[in-house]
Amino acid sequence: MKGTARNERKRRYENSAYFYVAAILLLVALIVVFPIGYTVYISLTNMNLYHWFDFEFIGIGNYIRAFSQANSEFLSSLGLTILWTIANMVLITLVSLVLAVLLNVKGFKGRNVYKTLLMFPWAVPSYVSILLWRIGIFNGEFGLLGDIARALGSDSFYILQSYWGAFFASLLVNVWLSYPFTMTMMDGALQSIDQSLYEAARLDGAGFWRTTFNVSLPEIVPIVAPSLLMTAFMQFKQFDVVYLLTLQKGAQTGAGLQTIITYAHTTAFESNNYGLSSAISTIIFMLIALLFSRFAYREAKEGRN
Amino acid sequence: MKRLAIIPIAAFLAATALAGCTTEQGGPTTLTFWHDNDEAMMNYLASAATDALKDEGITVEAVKKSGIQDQIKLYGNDSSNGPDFFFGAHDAIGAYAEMGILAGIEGYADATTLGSFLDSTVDAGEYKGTKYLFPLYAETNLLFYNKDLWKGEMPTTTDGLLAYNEARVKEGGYGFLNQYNDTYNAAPWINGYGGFVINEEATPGISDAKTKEGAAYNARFAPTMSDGTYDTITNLFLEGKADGILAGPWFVSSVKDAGIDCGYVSLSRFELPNGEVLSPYEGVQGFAVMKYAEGKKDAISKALKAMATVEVATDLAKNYNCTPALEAASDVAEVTSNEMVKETQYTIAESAVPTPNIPEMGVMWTPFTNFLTAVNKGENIDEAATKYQADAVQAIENMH
Repeated sequence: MKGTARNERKRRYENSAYFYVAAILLLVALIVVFPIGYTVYISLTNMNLYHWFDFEFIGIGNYIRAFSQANSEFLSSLGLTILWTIANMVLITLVSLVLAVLLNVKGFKGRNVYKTLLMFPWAVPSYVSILLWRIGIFNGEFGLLGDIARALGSDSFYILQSYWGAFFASLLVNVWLSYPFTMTMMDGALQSIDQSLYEAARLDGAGFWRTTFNVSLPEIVPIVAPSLLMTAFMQFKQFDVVYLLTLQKGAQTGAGLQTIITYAHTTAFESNNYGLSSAISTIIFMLIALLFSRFAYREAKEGRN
Repeated sequence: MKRLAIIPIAAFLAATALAGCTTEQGGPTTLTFWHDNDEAMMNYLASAATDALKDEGITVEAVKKSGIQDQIKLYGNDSSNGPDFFFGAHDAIGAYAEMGILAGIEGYADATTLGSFLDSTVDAGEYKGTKYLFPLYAETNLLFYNKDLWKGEMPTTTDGLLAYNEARVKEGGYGFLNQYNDTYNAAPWINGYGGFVINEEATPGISDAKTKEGAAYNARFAPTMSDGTYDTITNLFLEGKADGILAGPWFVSSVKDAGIDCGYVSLSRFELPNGEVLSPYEGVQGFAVMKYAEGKKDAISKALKAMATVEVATDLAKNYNCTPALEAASDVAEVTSNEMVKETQYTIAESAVPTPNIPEMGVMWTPFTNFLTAVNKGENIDEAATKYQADAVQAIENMH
């Protein structure tokens, strides 16, 4: 009897926990779950300019449409987005790693000053940074690239007007905006490595490269992997760099660069087809959710092992 | 006692719920219109209407909303938070009409009032047989030139303009600049050659032979106009490094702030090699009324009428370089003495064409700009036209 009463108390105690978190769960449901659910709902309707208020349920028509047009901009933008994500991740990881390792070189006195300076791209609002890059660096007349071209005796050129030029320019800006986060994570991970491992490596005669590849990297990978994954998702749905450099209203450069998220934006706000745009957004969401859940599952499995 | 407390609460709720239904019965009425325009000009319009209607207890308020087109779409059916009417350009009318959020303007302005405007300005706001716009002023692109920099006489042909530009570039300067990749700014060349961005049947005109001819001729100007971006060309002109620029009335305040002694020339004064003249888009700015504002019909009608007087039109021309839609104001000395207004009137009379107001125009800007960019970069014009025509057709399909 005593045991039953204890169990009852325990059950009540546990149930009360749900009550205390109910408010925050409701908030999460309102600001996270509801918009996702509503987007999925809209993606199953014909909500567009011609059915703005009287839209109807049309099933998965918008999804079929997004995938069935073999030459559609949707598929080409999806392909470009995959390339964009891979290129960004390779560059961001490399740049962040090199900088983090350099910051952790033993006896480096300017560490704090350099770390602060390297964090600068993170401190400036991205909107401002991107416009500064557009005008200060890429602009054919006033920008640094134009000056360099003229100094080399060539005509000034506007890199943002060509497809691949705009791609590489956007890539450069995005890496510049993104590396401080991963660099900070890597720096923190490097700082947390037990110094005795380095001492042991040195006693074994390992130099800088050997300790970096055999001690530092294996030690930081488990720590920085989740942040790299997060960064990858952020690149996949990156919007403002490509939009502000090439597609901003009144300042379109004509490069024709469309990632999947700028394509979703164009479909929603230029074509005014919220049904189709919501379907594209849902596909983006599903892709990210699928990849993330696979990773989370693997992490959990590794954790258990 | 607790039950009794519900009575004042219920009374309060009932009173507030009915509050929105008052006003037309003689009480004071506040009308709100949204705009994304010069705040001083819009506040002037609001105060002109309020002053004229103060005996009737009607107050008009102007509220600036950035990105008004998206805001109107968002609040188009929301009478509690949306405006009673709004001020905007005619080319968005078709989209709003398809959404079903606008009231026909003939319910708010009688035939005499609408007849007092220039026909082209009323027609510009008509979509599928219904008039939606109460026009106030018209605008077109003009050639702005720096009187201190421009060398010699103004050419009378586009070839003359091109030669002027080439000579100035050879000297290390800049002649007349334009956003040559931009649809709106390249339109004078395209329209002048008989081409089109999109026709009334919503067929994109990118692959039209005359459009290609116009685009090819427009491309000849590109090497003389820096990179042709808005940032660059406006800075070059405002810094006194470029002799001229293609711009509209919205650019005047920047020019004045920069202290440039500026002259204006109608694009209709430049003859193209095909014998026609440059033909820019004409934009008409005016008021459109929300469908849900039916309950304030009388007050809105009076407010609109109060803003369509010769005095108001003259003030707008004098202070804000607006070309009046009101026919009676067109000949007023204070209006015609304004060089910019005079040149705009000339353009409208000679060669301007209204920017298409069909909803499909909204998706044409991107493919057309991409097409122009490709041509201006020297890509094969036929291939570019085929590619971007297909993109435009796809974008239109995506609307449905």
